[in-house]
Amino acid sequence: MTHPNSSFLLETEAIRLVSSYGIPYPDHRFASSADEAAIAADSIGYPVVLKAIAADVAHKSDVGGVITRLRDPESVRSSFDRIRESLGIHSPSSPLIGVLVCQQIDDGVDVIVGGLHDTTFGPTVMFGLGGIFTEVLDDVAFRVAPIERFEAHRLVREIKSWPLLDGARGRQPCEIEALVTLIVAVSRLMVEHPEIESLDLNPVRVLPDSLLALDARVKQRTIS
Amino acid sequence: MREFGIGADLFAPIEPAFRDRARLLRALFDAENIAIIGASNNPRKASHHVMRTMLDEGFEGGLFPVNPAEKSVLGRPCVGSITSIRERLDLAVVSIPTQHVLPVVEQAAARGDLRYMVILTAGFAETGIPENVELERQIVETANASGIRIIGPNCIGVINPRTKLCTGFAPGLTLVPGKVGFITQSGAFGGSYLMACGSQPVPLGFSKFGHVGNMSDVDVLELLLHYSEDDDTKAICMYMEGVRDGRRFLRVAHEVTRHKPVFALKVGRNTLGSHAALSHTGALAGSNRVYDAALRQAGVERVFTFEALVDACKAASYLPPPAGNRVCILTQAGGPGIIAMDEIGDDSGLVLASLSPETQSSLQALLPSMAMICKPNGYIDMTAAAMEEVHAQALRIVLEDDNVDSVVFITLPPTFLPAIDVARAVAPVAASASKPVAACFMHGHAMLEARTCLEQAGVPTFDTPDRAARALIHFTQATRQQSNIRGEGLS
Repeated sequence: MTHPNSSFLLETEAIRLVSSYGIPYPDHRFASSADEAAIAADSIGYPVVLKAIAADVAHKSDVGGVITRLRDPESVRSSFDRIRESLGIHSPSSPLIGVLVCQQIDDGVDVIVGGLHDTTFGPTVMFGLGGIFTEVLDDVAFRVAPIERFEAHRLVREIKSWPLLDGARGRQPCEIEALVTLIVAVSRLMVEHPEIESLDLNPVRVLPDSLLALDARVKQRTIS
Repeated sequence: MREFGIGADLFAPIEPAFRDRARLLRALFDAENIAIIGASNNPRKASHHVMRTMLDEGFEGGLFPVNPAEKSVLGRPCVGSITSIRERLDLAVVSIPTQHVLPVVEQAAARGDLRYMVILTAGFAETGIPENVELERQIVETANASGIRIIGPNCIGVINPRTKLCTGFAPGLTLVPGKVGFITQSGAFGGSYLMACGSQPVPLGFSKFGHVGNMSDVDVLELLLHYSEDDDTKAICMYMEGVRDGRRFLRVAHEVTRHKPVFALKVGRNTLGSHAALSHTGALAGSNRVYDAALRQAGVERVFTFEALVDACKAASYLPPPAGNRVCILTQAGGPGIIAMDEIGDDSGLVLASLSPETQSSLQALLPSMAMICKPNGYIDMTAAAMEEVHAQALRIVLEDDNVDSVVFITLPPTFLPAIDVARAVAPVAASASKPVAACFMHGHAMLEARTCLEQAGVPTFDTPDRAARALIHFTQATRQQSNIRGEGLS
C-alpha cells in the first residue's frame, strides 16, 4: 500500500511496524468504504475514531482527516464520506485509500515518544510530554539508541514536566514501568531500522494502569 | 548515506589495535630528539617560537633546526635537510609552505627512525580543494607506510609541561606541570585557555595538551584514550566543535570516564540540526540536543562557558572528589552568599546540606550574635563581625558534619581585617579537608595576595561566588556521572 513517491509510511504500515515491537495500539480495523467502516466500528464497539489513510498526508487532522467520538453506525458512514470530501478539497493529489477505524480511548496524560536518525550519532530516541509541553516549551530529551531500562528511567526524569507524570498537583502517578518498556522498544526499533529517518508516537496516552500509542508516524530516509 | 556500525551494545569494547595506538602516543609526548623543519630566526614565523619556547622553558632533549637558508637558529647549528641529521630522531615538527611538505615527509620516511610528525602548516583538506585534500591523503599514506604517525596538519600539536616539549606557538605560554589533560579542536581557543590557566593567582598547570587540527591520522579520540592511561593526567577537559563518528566518540568517552572525570565545552548550542522543521518533533530536535544526550550517556560533564571550563579544571586539579551532592554555603556577607545560592538553584544537581543540630549549636556558640545560621539550613552568613579565627573555626565545624559533602566559602574581608590574615587562618583547614572547598575572596587586586596564599596551600580560589559554586556543581556532576558509568547507583 506504499505510495511510490511517499517517504511516510501509511499509518496502517506504521502500526504494523510498531506493533511488531510490542508497542500497544488501540483496537483498530482498516476500511475502504463507508459500509466497511460501519461494520468495523460495530465489531470494535463504540465510541470510535476515524482516521484517513492516504499517501503523503502527514498531518491528518490539518486536512480534516480525523473525526473522533463517533457513537453509532450512521455517524461512522457519514464521517467516512466527510473525510473523503475533505481530502478531495485539501489534498487532491493524495486520494483517500481508506480509513482506520480505532477504538476511542479515555482521557489520560499524553506523552510523545519518538526517534530520529541523527547524522552524527545515528539512531536516537526522544521523550517529551504531549501538547504544549513539547510544541511550545520544547521540553524534550534525547538518548542515543539503543538504551536499557536504567537509562530510560533517567530519560523520563530528565524533562522539566516530569512531576506531572509523577503525580504532582493531585494527578494520578502514571504507569512509568510501561512507559520505560515502550521507550526501550522504540530505541531498539530505531537501531534495527536504520532506514527510518523519524518516528513519532504522538500522542502516547498514559492511563493509570496501561498505555497506548494513539498515532504512529514513520518517515523513511530518502534513498538517492 | 553512511551506515552506522550498529550493534545491540552501544558500549562495545574498544578494539585492541586502537588502544595500542593510543597507548603508544606516550612516545610522542616523551620525544627526546626533535627536528624543527622550517626553523627560523625570524620572530614573525611560527617555527621560531616553537624552538624558542622549548629553549626558554629548558627542554632537555635535542633540538635540531632544519632550514637550507639558515646556518644556525637561536644558537643551534642548522642543517639543510632532515637527511643530514645523524642522531636518532623521535619527532619532527614541520612548519614550511604547503607544497614542500610531501617531499619532506618522504625524506623523513626514508630515515626509518621517526615515529611522529607534527605538521603545523595549513592549506590541506580544510580548504575543501580536491588537490589539497589529495595531498593530505598522500602525506598520511607515505608517512604511515614507514611507521610514522601524523599529527595535524593545520594544528599546534602537543605540549608536555613535564619535559617542556612544546610544538605550539601561542605567545606567553608557561609550561607548568599540572593534573589536567587538555584536548582542543581549536588551536586559538587552546592557546587562550592555557593563558587563562597561567593567569590564575597561582598558575594552573596542565599535564598534557593536544590540538590535532585536521585529524588526518591521530584524532581527538586517540588523544582522549591516551589521556585516560596517562599517569600525569587526573582529569580531562575538552573544547569540542564536533566529532565525525558520534557512536565511536560515545564508546571511547564512556570508557575514559570510568577512570577520569571529563569536562567538555561543546559549542554550537543554537544550531538546529538538519532534521529541523521536517515534522513537529523533528523541528524540536537538532543535533545539539543529541550531543547533550550523548555527552550524558558517555559520562562527560558539559560546560557552557570558557570560564566554566577553566574553573571546573581548577576544581578537579586541586580538590578531592566530593562523596555526594550536599553543599554548605559559608559566607561572611549576604549578597555574595545569595548569588552562590542562586547558582545552586533547584536543578543544578547540588542541594543544600542539612546541618545536624550539633553543628548548628556549635556555630551558634562560635559566631557573632547577628549571624544567620541555617536560614535556610545549609546556608550560613557569618556577617562582617567574624574575624579570621571565626572564619577558620566555622569552616572546620561545617566540614566535620557528615551531612556536608562540599563547601562554598565566601568572604569579603572588611578594611579592619586584612585578607591575608583570613587566608592564612583558613588555608590549613581547607587544605587538610577530605571534602572539596571552593573559596571566593571578593574581589580583584586587593585579594590577590590572599588568593595566592590559599592556592599555594592547595585551596582553589574563584573570581566570584557564582563561579565558585558552578565549579563545584560541574565537579560534583562529573564525579556522579563517573559513578553512574561504573554502575555504582542511580543519580
